[in-house]
Amino acid sequence: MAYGRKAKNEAAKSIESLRQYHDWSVRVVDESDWPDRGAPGRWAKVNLDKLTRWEQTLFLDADTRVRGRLDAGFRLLDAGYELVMVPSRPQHNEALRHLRSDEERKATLREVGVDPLQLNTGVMWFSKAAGPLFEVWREEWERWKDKDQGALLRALERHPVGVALLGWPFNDEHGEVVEHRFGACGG
Amino acid sequence: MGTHWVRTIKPVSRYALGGGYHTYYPGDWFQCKNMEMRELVESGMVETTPQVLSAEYKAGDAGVLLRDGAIKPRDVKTYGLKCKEDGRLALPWKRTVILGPGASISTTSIVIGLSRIEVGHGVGWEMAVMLKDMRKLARDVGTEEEKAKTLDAVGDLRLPVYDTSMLWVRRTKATKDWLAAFRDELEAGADEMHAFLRILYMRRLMLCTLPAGWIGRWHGA
Repeated sequence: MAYGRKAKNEAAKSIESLRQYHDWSVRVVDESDWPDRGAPGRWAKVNLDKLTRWEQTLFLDADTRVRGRLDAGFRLLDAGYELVMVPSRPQHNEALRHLRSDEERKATLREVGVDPLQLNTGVMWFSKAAGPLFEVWREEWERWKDKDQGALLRALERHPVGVALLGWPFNDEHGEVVEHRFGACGG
Repeated sequence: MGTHWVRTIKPVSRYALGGGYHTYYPGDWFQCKNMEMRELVESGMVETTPQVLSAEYKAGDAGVLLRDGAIKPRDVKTYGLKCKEDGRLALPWKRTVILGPGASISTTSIVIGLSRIEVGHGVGWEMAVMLKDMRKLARDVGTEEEKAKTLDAVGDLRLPVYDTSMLWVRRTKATKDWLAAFRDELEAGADEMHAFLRILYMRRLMLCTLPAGWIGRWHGA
């Protein structure tokens, strides 16, 4: 997702870092081919299934830098999982503090199971089979049109799919495989 | 009539029939309907009696399987749960909570965990398990031999590890296959955390991962 000048610069650097390890095809989504709505880039993120032409896709936030090989996620998709993600650092009571709407935070806590695992949507591997989850994710995002992680939790509650986990090295501020420069796009 | 008395653990503000909000403080009792009670219990705001919980959560064909060395939770039968002390891994009920050595868990937590593996709209989680530690990865635990086996099976050791001493399992074709493979690995002397990962990531399982410390929030609730 590269909505805005900062995000475009970040995306270029992210792709350059990816090239050090993989020669995979890359698609950058921006204003020219997908309209932005709500919080920057979020509407595109919940439409990733429509924006990809591949059977299996790795999504990287623009503000990431690849520091190692990323095959592990595809291997887990090959095992049959629809989605491969990395848990967020904030969990428990801190988990939904990024949601700007108090109403959304309360609704999410009410609708999902007790103390759910928070997942960071900045790095995700997904297969075509995750399509129905994206459909529900879009519906949930439409309720507040803001951040995407609360909406994902609610979507997973309504439509569970096989989610495999990789550790923080794959998506973290100091990630040894994917370094995530949170907030570098200004979004 | 679907209304239950609950006791406040943390302050709860509720809309009052006469208008405005009324705040209930720890120790206060009030009545609420099933859905609200469930939400409040699950969020740790209130508690209620085992009889109400067992009726509300519909334990049904569910029970606790204690492996060797597991501590038997109190009041299991009061919640409508069956209990079996058997060293061997099995899925005797439609929903089984498998407790391993050293696992210490309140029956309320067991019951709330069971609600994660209920079937909702035709799809649902088949198993719920906590992460062991958010920082701990497969490369940090077990012998070099175990790590090599996991690396070969999964392709990476930078995977979060699970707390296999507490497993909430719904009996399905996939979990029966998982159990047979897990049992084989353990009987062959494999490291439990590595064996769990190897089996989990070689075949798809609808796993509801719970954050490390999930039980801490509810322990003794």
